[in-house]
Amino acid sequence: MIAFRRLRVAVFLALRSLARGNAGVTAMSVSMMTAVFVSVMFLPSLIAGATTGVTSQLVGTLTGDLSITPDGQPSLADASAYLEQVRAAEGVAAATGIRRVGTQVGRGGDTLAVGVDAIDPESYAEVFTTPQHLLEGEYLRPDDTDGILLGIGVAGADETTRRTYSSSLKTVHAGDSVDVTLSGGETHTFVVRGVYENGFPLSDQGAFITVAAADSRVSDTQVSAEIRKAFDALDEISAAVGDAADSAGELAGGADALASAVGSLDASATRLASGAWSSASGATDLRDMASSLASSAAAAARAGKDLSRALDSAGTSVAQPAVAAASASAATAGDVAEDAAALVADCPPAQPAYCGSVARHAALTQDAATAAATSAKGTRALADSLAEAAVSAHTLAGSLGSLSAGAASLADGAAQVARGSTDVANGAASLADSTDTLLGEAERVAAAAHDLADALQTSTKDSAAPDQASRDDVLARLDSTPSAPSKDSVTRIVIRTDLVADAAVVEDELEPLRAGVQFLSPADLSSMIQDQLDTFTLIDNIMRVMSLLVAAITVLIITYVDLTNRRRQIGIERAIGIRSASIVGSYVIRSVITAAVGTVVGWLLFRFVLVPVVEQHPFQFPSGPVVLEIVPQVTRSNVVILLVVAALAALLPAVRTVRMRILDAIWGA
Amino acid sequence: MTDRIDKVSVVTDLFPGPEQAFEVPQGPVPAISAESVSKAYRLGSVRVQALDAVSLAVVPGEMVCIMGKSGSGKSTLLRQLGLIDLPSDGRIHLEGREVTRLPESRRAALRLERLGYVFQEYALIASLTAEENVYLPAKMLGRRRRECRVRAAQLLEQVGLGDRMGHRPKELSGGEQQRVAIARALVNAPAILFADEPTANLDSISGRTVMETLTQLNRDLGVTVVFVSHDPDDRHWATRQITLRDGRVEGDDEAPP
Repeated sequence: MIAFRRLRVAVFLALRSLARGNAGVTAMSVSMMTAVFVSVMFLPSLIAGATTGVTSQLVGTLTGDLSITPDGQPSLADASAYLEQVRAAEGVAAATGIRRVGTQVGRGGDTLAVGVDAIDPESYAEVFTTPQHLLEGEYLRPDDTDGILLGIGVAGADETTRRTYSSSLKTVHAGDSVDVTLSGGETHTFVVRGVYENGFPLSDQGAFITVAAADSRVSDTQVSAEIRKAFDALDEISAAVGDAADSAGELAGGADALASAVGSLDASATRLASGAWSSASGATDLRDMASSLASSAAAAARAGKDLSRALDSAGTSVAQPAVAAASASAATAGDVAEDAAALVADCPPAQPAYCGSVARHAALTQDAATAAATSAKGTRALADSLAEAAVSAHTLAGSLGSLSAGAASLADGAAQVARGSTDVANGAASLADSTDTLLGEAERVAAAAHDLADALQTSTKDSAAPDQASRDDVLARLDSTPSAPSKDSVTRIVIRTDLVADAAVVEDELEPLRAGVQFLSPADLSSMIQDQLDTFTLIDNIMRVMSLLVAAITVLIITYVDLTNRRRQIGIERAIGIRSASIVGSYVIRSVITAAVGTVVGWLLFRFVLVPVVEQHPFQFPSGPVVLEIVPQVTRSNVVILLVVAALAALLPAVRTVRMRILDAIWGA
Repeated sequence: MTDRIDKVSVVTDLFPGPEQAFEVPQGPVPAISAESVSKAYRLGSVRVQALDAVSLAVVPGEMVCIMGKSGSGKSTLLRQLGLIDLPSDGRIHLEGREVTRLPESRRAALRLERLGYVFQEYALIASLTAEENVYLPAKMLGRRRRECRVRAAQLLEQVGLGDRMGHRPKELSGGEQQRVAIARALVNAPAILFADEPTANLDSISGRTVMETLTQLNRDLGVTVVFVSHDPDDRHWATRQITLRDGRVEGDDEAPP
């Protein structure tokens, strides 16, 4: 009751304030809410439009309401009977079979990889809208056996502004001839009857011929060609197996040769091992001899050194004193001789006897001096010889030393050789062992190669292709069969349901026909644009939050400014007993009413201006033209969110203001 | 609730109608009384003692003029009595009940139901007409629209504005606005009507009209009025004059008739 009173006063104040308040501010608030509403409506509607557009194009031109495709096989045989059963099912308005018969359409040098479908023109037109979208020429007649219907994405038709133009044949028009490569690989010429344009790139990339045209070409010849190809393939396989057997034979021969080579290798290794052993013992003898040589040489060297030292000391202790003595006696003799000569010279002529004796003595002295000199000379020569002998002895000792060192290293070398020879002998022994093992392996390999060659030989005989007679028999029987299996088969069946029937219900109806086939609804296919839509939804959420933030802040500012201007009035209202709840409520209600009016205006603007304008000028998306589609659920949630945001944005500053003290509000700063 | 309706019926007596049963609080119970009411507040770092142990009692039917110089505390006293502000100390009784310790929501209810307040400045809601301004407190009290309109019409007639009911505040003169404010203050039949220098912003003729209106209401209808003025000439409108000086009661005299 009390709450109702407060609400009544709040509504009263809000309505009066709206009716008699600042019309400019109110209009601005309403416009802002209108703008926000339109902006939060735009992207969801665009996404909905894109989804609906793609789905309706998929349903109308590619998948129908339900597609049936064979499970695990390329095609569904006995299609007419199956189709009759499908058509009889509850909820099925129409059904048509489609057979993929070609892979390529070309004209002149240009070819385009295009799925060429064989259709029954009558039932196709009941299921699909494509026949209603002819850009030029006419639709196929059921009995047309050399006409083809091309999508704008294939023909091009000189429509240079189309996005698909550059990837099309560009200049093909109704009446022109094109070459169609059928699945069998044969190329046939067809006349273009018409060019259609669905405005949906996925389905504008199609080419259609009649079932009659396909049957007249894709018949026994293709099947027998397939069989012939199979025979050829068998031959090739057989030949390949033969070749393989031959190769295996050669391989076995090679393996044998290898085994014998390894055998010789093994023998050599054994010999090598024994040779190595004898050379090892020779090397040991040599080492021993070298050792004794070395010790002899060392002894000789020592003897040479001793001799040399003896000669040196002889030179010092014997030769030098001898030379000195000889020299001294020679000098003395010389002196005596000179004295004698002087006596002779001084000898008075008056005493000839004396003088004669003196002269003889002098002569003898002279002889002695001469002899002494000669002796001294001989002694010196002897000493020189001794010295020379000592030098020679040195040299000899040095040579003996070198010889000894040489003999020692020779002995070392011989020792190493002896060790090496032993290692070599050991290595040769293990080599001989290895070659033994190797020989065993080589023999096994040879045996395996023989086995393989034998096996291949056998399989060559087994895999031999049927002989020519039986082949001819098969082909002849095939050619004589009037109805080949490829006729009356379809790649898929497409169903259009009754307006009232749900695809899922029809699926249940068709349950008995489900063996060996898959059911596919457009929902399964439209998932291919799901990624794009998810991105859009993300962008939408971001934009929506931004718009709502702008709206919230604007309402907040408007309310705040309004409240600041009316602070005194609010103080007076509270002073005379008007409850805070009523005052806050009046601002919230005013904001909500403003938002509601803005929303209504926005909705009207969106529904009756923006949507029709976009319908006239659709957005061009890669998936085709897109218009705006209002989703009631999104509209409702947008309205609710906007009103809540408006209420909250007014609530915050209003609560803040009524919490002030009355005195401050009326008289305060 | 019944209690409240009984009190409200006091004033229905002012506007003769079928419902005549009422009881006027008589005897010793004052309409409002202050008991050692003090009010101090800070102005920057200065502590201002606006009221200092003021005690007084207003008997129903009185027309009290609170006089004093600027800063004497007269407006502060009126705000305490009018339950717009809370005293720092002391107690206030409204019709015998202590109201100083009530929560703001209860005091707001009392302001709405038992007190009328006329402000110095124009204090009407700009987006409402004179009539709507007058009946807003009655609406807040839950009166029906028809009842509200009848009462507003009677009150506006009473204050001499019977022909200006549909006018917005900006279409009225200052004196007329004050008289609308008086009518609004009376709409819920208050025990007391407070007026805070109601003529301060008016020319002398308008001021005189406003004071005459108050006097007439008091004299003819027995409305208890407490008003504040700094103009010594206003004392002759009152039956009793309380003079404040520096937050204290300096004089309390019965005015000459």
